Amino acid sequence: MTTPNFTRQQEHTTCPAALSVNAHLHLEDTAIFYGGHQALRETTLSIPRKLIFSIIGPSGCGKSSMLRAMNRLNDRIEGCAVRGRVVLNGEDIYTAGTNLIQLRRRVGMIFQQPNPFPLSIENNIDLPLREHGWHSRSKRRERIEKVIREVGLWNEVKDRLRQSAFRLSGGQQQRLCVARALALDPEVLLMDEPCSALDPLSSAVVEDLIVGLRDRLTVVVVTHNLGQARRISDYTAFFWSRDHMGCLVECGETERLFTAPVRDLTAAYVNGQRG
Amino acid sequence: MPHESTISCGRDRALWAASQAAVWAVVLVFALILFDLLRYGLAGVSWSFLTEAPRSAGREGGIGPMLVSTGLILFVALAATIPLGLCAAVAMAEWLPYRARFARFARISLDVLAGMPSIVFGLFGNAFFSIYLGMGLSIWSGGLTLACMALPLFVRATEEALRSVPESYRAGGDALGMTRTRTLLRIVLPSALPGIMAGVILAIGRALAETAALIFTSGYVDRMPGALSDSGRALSVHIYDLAMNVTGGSANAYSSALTLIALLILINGMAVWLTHHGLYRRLIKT
Repeated sequence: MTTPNFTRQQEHTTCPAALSVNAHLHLEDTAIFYGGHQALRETTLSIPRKLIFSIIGPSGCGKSSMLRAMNRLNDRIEGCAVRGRVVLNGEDIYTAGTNLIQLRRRVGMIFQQPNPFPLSIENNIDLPLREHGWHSRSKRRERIEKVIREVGLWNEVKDRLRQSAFRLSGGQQQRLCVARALALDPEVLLMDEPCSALDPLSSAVVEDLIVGLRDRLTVVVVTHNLGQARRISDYTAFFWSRDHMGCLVECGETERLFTAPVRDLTAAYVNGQRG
Repeated sequence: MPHESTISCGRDRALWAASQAAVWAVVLVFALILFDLLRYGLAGVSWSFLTEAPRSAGREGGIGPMLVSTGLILFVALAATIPLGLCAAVAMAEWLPYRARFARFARISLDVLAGMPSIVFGLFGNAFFSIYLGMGLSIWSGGLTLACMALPLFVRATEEALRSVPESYRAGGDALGMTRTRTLLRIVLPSALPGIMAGVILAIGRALAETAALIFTSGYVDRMPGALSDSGRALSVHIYDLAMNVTGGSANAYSSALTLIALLILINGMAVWLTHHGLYRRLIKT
């Protein structure tokens, strides 16, 4: 899956500026700090539209922090500061006038641990819909059914929509969380190791679900699972930690990054010799 | 006994035996009190005892007015404690950073207040509500004084309940673009409800048991109160009076004490039931 703007020569430490022409999300010298400690070195990265972009690297290399910076979810973490620019559709989301409610509707987030609300399956999706101005009950119903079908959960839960979401298995809960995020019709979906808390079978189901989102919305997925990154993503960014600070090592088409990495570190990591 | 394999050495056995003995000691104290009350008090408790007015300074007759006064004082106390305490706990647990100087100061103040002897609250209530605000000896000033006493317990219990709600709910709400108010009202508070109800029970317990603070604030007039501005004798004050000041009053003191304990157990039971079957189900499981 190639986009004309992406050429092999341009793929080096930072994703090239040419990429940003078609970029959906663009990080420009983005650095993240916790208190006085810098967790992510200034990073420039472009994430193409309606493709799957994976972020790999060892623990503590700032992957999750960077993901959270993309919908300002780390605003809620005390002492966390983001410098540089994070540009969504040409607009910096870190300007003062940004409407966080709208930003997060457009840029959804799936967490490592499935986090359904302590509500019924139905109300898990109904509540955020109502929050975003879906006043018609029948329209909400339709929407709920549509998104639950989209994540392939409908046949499993259609008879127990009013039961607690906690009675679902881990994999089902995670799919419900994806359905809940999709209900708001986001343009970007951020996923923070969405499969790592699941058993292999559930993990495979969620993985297929992510692949099914390609061409529909932009997916950014952080994963520890190199095989998964290779299977599902079109582009991959590889991060490494130096002196407790995360930095981007290499970024490019997934297949190229795995088969012909430019950097030695990347080669060592994807071949399982480092990390 | 815990599973055999978990007890490995003599030290474990000794600790296990000591903790078991401690549990029995606690149960025994409660059983002794209850037994004593039942033995001397049960005979005197009847419908007429619960409804009639006292006669001969309480030696005869019932505790009708005291039950009503107690209920009213409790109502005033809870009506002030719950909304105020809920807001304070939400501010401390949800809005202020844990280490914020203001929150730390508030937490220390509450802990000091929680350990303050009730007589001090009585003197404060008398000076502030009865005299300075001109409420006199009344159910208002008694109830508000009790609210001051119950507030620290309730706020800390509620704050802990809110803190024990998984952070992932709040993160989930934020990530879905929900306002923090909506997440709080629809997700966090309902999840914290069992803990909040435990706080309410603590507050009720402290209020029902209180004697010293009420003598100075709601007074000890044993007539049926006609309004919240009337003085009213709480059940605990009545017990104190019968036991200490009225010769021949101990039989009715026992019956009154038994009633008070029964009331406490009843309210606790109701709160637990409400939490797990009524409110909780309705708010969370649907």
